[in-house]
Amino acid sequence: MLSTAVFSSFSMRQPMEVAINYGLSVVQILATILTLFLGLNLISRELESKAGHPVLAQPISRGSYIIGKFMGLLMIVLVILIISGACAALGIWLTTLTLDTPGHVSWAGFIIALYGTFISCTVLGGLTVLFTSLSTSAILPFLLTCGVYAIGQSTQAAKRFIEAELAGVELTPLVKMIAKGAYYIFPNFALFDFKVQAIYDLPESATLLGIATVYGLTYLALTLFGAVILFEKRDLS
Amino acid sequence: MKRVLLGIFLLGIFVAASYTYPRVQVLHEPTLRLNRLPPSWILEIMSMGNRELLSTIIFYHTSFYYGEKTAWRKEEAELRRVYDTLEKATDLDPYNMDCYYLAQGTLSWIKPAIPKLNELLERGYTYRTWDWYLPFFLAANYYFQLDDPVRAAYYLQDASRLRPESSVFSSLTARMFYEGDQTETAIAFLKSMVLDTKSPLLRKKLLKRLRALETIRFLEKALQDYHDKTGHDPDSLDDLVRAGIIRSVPPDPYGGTFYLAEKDRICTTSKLAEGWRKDQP
Repeated sequence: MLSTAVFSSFSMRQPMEVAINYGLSVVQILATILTLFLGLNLISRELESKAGHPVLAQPISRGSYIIGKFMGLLMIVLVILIISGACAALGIWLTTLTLDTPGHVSWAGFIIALYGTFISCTVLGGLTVLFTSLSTSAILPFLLTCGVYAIGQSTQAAKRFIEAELAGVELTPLVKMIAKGAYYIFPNFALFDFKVQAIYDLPESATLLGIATVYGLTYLALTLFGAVILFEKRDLS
Repeated sequence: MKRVLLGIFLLGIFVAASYTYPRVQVLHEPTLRLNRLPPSWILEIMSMGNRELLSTIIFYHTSFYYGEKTAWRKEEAELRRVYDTLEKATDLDPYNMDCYYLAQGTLSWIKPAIPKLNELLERGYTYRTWDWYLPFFLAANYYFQLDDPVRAAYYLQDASRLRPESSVFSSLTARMFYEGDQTETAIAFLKSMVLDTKSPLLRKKLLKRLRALETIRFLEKALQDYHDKTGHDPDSLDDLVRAGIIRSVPPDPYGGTFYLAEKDRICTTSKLAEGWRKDQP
């Protein structure tokens, strides 16, 4: 909270914008890391220590077990986001106290940006569940999730780079095809990023917000669907 | 007892080391370096969805570097690198005003850098459409460094529309249009500003400037009539009176006197400046 005011104090013309930027970015980084590690430990550790076996012995389907575990993860992520979001908001508010003319803070934009982070963490959580259902080892799901997250964060930038056809950069048709394929197959995490609108108080597009929500939830449903199928076929003995 | 003594001993060493190391470190501290950054699209991928934060970090690094270098002789290569890093920071976050501000502050005094600087500012202006600073910076660069008062006037016109409460902008815009031989444009601009202005004080100032420019336009037309009638240019404005084209040389609302400068240009001793007095040199 205090670091927000310190970080933004180095800005020449836009300390308020830097404070919002810093707050939202820290929340995003924190929520992403926690989703990743909590999601990976969620099933793999329980199955490794056989602590989940009594639950699975109950008359519930494996699919319900996976969905239930995921819902639990979602709740934890939501609580983390609410707490860290409140801390970030407090940091921004503290920054307004340090400035003579603090300027306008778009709290609606701030909440929308947090919502975008939540959708992003939801999709990431779905991916961790999918990969932990796939593999018995702990390291492989971690690497796969990190890889997909990194690709998902960069597909939009890569697609724009290819479409821009910058002078002096020759790309083979195969590379272009791979990049375009990756854009449609991997989750586009840039779609859930509403930070810039919150930072500079830019108008929010309700259509984009709606599309991002539908896209995120559909991707999540597909990953959970895959996770359930894989987990049902998995040999737990 | 031994543990307490050991604790005090360790604490003593720690305090001594904490007191000493900053002084020793200063002697061996490497100078701040501004490394060449990878292309913008790679930076965007590296930011992992935090483009705006990375842009701010790059800006901070650049401003700290520049701050440390202020006492040094600024070399072209270094300034070029400052520009490159700021350009990449604005690629990541084109709304980042700090970058444009630093770019203007560091590069606007170097004439060869102005076209690139203006390119950066013009791109920034396409994003920050509400910000009067960017058209104001552009107007200053075009006017003072590129000797292009007309282009400067158009940017200042934007700045004055974005900041209508400032009488200086609208007044300066009209003056730049006039200096760029665009008196008609200056008059049209002032008329629209008078209509839009709610402040009585500002309206009064704008009307005064409008009167001055309309008088200049009147004299410009009289010059043209004189040329059409005699086939040559007059030596002074009094020639217009002697030829019967105008009854007398009208007064300058700012208190000065109109005269004919080089290239048949109508000028005034007041330079259209507020607060000008006749006894001033």
